[in-house]
Amino acid sequence: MGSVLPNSYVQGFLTASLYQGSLKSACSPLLNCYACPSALFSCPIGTLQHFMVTGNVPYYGIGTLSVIGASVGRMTCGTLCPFGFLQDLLYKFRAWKVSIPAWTRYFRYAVLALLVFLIPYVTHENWFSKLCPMGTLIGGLPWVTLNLNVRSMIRALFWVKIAMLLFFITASTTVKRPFCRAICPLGAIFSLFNKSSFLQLAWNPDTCTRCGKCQKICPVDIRPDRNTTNPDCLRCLDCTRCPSIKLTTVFHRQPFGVSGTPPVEASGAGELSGATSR
Amino acid sequence: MKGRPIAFIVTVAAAAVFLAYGIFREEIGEVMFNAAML
Repeated sequence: MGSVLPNSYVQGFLTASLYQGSLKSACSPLLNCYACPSALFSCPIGTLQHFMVTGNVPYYGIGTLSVIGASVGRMTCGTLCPFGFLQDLLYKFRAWKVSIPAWTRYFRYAVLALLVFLIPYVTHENWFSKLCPMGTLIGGLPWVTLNLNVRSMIRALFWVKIAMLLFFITASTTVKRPFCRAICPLGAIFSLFNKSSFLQLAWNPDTCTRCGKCQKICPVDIRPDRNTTNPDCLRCLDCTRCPSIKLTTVFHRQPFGVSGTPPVEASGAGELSGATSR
Repeated sequence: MKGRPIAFIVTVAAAAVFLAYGIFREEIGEVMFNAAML
């Protein structure tokens, strides 16, 4: 749905033109290039960079992303992002699987600070958009295919972008969501809200057997039972298939119910006490 | 853990102020113009 709805201006591909209606004034909460011929909404990262290039504070962009982040944390990354969905599909290929260390997450904060804010402000060029693999995939490549004038403007930077796209496509077959975990500046913004967002994950230590299956099905390879507010967590809710983890809200103190009088005949189950929402 | 609801309320309030100020500064028009000028 996240891949189709923000890119449903099919006419753009038929007429080789961009949608210029009022929906373009809204930032989509996804890494979705607004240069894509079928894009209906603006790219939030492109919007932030535009204001930095012009030397202004992007109040509207920051406000929009903060409202979304404060509501659902990184849930849009886990449920709607088209590039995340592509990486999930690529990881299903039979290939050598490796995991990357948790500290690689700090790269995305560096990308956010440098490529989205600082360097565009200093150089007056939106550098993240110039290198974004999602932009290359749904913006650059369609335009190069559709428009001869654009094709004649291809320079070395285009091939750098293609190389980066190919790198992430290849890496996604062996590593779970490498772009989301190590590079995505939008994910970096939303991850700041995981601790205090309205929607939260809750974990029940009394019923959890620490089997580790939640990590196996997690698209970013984390253990939600160790930290339910992990900034890497995409809130995709895959782990909520386990009865020990559930979606709750920040105001819910006892998401698994208040500890009551245990039924005598139900051994073990009777020891269920209140849940912990770390 | 007890501070989390307060953190949420403060965050939402700050986000709403940013958003409202951005709308007041007519940044929506600039976002649309930027997207159209690609």
